[in-house]
Amino acid sequence: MMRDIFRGISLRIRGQEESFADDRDDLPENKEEKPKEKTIDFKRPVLKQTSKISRKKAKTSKDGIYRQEVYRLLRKTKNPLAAFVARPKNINFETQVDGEEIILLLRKHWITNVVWIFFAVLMLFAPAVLLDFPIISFLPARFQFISILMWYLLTIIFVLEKFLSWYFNVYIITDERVIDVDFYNLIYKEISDAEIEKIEDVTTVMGGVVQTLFNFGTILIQTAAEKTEFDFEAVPNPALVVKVLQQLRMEEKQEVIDGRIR
Amino acid sequence: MDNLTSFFLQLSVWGIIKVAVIFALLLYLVFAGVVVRQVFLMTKVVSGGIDFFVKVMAWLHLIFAVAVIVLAIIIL
Repeated sequence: MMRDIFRGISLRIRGQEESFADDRDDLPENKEEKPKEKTIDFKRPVLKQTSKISRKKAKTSKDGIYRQEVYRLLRKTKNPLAAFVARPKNINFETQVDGEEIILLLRKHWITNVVWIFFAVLMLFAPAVLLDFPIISFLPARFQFISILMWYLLTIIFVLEKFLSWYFNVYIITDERVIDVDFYNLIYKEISDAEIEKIEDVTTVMGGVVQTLFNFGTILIQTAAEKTEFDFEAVPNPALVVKVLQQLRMEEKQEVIDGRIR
Repeated sequence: MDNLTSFFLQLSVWGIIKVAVIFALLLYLVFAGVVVRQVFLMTKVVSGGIDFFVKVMAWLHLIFAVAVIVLAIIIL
């Protein structure tokens, strides 16, 4: 009688049936019911679900780990005139593929511009010197005026050429490639790129007082591509650039292992 | 023939220099045009940031070159 009463009292908590009578292992009926409740009705579907999620996670997490590390190393740069532009939003390049993300856009360190800026300032004020040292005083006034205008034309083109050369000579690191854009002068350009997985060796060269003081240097990238060597000249923070490249190379290797090559 | 001779006889040293200056400025104008074209190509290769500012600078330079030529023709 008492056995029947205990067996009848049961509770349902979170969809699982629990009975006080379960504690009584000595009962033969309970021994049979236990495995039925736990394994078939509740645990199987839950196990299925978690295994799907974990498989999905496993596929993306390795790629994500390296990319997250890159994002952790680099904070977005908003200044378009910076020499070290990380993950720029509004900058694109000619051969960019859909979905290709620019991780780094590098230019020569700003300190490399100091020399030409100094000369530009000198050129700007040079005509004022003519007031004290009248070198062209032998010319008629109208010729003096035109020669000063011509001087300023030359000054403008000097500044424009130097600035354009600095601004558009860029080194781009995307999540897939390394790109070197070179404008040797205003009428000659060379653009070369190599896939990150083809990078074989990365060397940093940093020497001299100025480079050490301002933390910039040259990165030499050896590749198995058609162009075997990429020179990232006088780029700021070369150690960080190398770290980023390392993470991206590991990500590419992982993609090859996982068979997820774009 | 006489007209041509008289033209060369009337041509002063400053007149020759004027012609040379205008010729040099015309060559410079071609170069300024090349700069504008090159800036457009450069902004195609790497676009974004300060494209508009750079293009404006190139155009202003070309306009300045034209202005100097016009002034040289008028003044000299």
